[in-house]
Amino acid sequence: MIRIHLNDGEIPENYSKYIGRKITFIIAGIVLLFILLIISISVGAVGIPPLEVAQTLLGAGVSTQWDTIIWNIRFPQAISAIIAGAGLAVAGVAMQSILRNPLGSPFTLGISHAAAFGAAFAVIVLGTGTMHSSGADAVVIDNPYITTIIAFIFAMIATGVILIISRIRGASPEVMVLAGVAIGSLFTAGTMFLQYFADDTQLAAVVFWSFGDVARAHGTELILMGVATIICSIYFVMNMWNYNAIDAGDETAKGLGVNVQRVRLVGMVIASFLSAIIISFLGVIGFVGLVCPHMARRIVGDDHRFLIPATLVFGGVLLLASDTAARLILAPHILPVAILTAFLGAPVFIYLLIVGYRR
Amino acid sequence: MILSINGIEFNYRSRDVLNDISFDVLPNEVLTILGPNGVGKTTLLKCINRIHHPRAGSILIEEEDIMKMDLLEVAKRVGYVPQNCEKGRLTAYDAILLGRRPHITWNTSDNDLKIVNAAIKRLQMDDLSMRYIDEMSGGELQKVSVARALVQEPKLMLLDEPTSSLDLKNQQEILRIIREVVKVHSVSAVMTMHDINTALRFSDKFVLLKEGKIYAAGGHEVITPESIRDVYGVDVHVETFNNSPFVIPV
Repeated sequence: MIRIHLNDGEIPENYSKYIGRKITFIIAGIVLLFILLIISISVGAVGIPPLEVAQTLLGAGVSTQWDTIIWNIRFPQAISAIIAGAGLAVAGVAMQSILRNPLGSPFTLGISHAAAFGAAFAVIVLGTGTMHSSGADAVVIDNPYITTIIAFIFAMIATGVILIISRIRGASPEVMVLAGVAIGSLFTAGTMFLQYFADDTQLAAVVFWSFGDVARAHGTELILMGVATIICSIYFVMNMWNYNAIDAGDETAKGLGVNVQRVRLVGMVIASFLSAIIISFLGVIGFVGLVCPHMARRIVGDDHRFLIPATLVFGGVLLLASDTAARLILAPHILPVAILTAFLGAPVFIYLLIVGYRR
Repeated sequence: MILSINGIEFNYRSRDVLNDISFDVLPNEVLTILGPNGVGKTTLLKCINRIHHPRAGSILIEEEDIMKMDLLEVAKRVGYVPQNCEKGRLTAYDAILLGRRPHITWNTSDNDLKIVNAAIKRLQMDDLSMRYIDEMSGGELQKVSVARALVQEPKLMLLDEPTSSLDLKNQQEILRIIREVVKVHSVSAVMTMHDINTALRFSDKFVLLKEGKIYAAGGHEVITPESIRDVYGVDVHVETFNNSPFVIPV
């Protein structure tokens, strides 16, 4: 019901242009992602011309050998990088918005540490990791499913503890982040404890697992990660107005009809769930969840109508580009992408902080 | 009756804050809650907006109990301007558009944008609308908050110290606009304020709070040297200028 009769306005032209610019950025990001996908698949030990890659992806492949390389190795790895990048980034942006804290991410909240502890527990206590005789692929996680499930369970335990603490002390941003720091330290100590008593093989397997690598996921794992990322992203998009309202302060949000406590708790569970699934399949991949949302914020601003899609796209672009670089940088050796994201992530984040504060 | 408050009681853990608060607000009325710091003015506004839950009593908006409404329904009827507003990386236009949140299911309509633009024009914020709020002064941000509450198209506006960070010109302007909206559109406003003279100039009714209870409620006649001394502990003269009283500390 219109009460104040503020309906004598017009849609300002400069606002339409301003919105148009944000949409253009996101579309440009999607185009860049497709170009990167082709490049990522075309480069490697066996070079495949980009045009052939495009033809193969469109179902008009010309070489059986290339078909095999593309469909069995490079395409799943590239898609895994896109899904993991998008998923970790969108979980990060949701956590940052929900906690109203720029340092919110699966790492700040101790979820990654808990997953790493779970993997260490599976390898050392349950004996899911062994070492072959020699070579680059010497360390093998014998039972990746049990390792993954245990990692996931511990990630969700960490989330549960954070939520219980926030239930007792209120879901304020400070409480959640401090709880996350405490839990992260606890699980790191637990991992160190297990590692101290592990033998060489187990220690190697734990360290191997902790190098997050997008090449690990195939078939079912990819589908599971993809479905989780899509469903969770839809939930975040549906709550974009709530996150915008919470950004304006808890009281303003409550005044706008937002059930702040509920939005915060459900959002945290969903973001943690998504992070836990990705981390438990691929291992710990640092900084994507922290840096991508900040990059997206700098370009499209804090409005979640654009920030969430932009973060999804930038997350995919960043991890795919990093993974491609990680495969090439020390060729013929292939670096796990997590090493590169950790190297790149920290300076980029510090740069963003410095530039951000100057703004 | 736009707002009817009956016997509200509220406590923070063991501390009683509000005791047996009752008053009514009619359409086209501006009511200001006066009282010293910590007396429960802001708490009372938050109870009216369902941010706080009173221990006892009832709050009716247009004869309906707000405790039985869902939060979105409350937000469609009550616009709230808090004392402090966070600064995100949003343009003023988008920050004001957020006020349409209770009316939006998925995306904004042209009508939402038109309402926002009309509020911007009414508050003479055309120059500010495409600026980022994290680059704004406290006063400009206050205007954004008022505009956001306006575009909620509420029946009742709650304003917690709406002029606290505004200069004299902007204070007068914001209060004039609030008064104009109230008088023209069957809306009511409840404000808290420290400046008694500004309150006297822009309000129709007053509630004086002392120690969590209503000391006096009514029109200009409740502002007397005795009431001010009892509530604030300050001796004042009350003079009349242009048929309106004003308070001068002795």
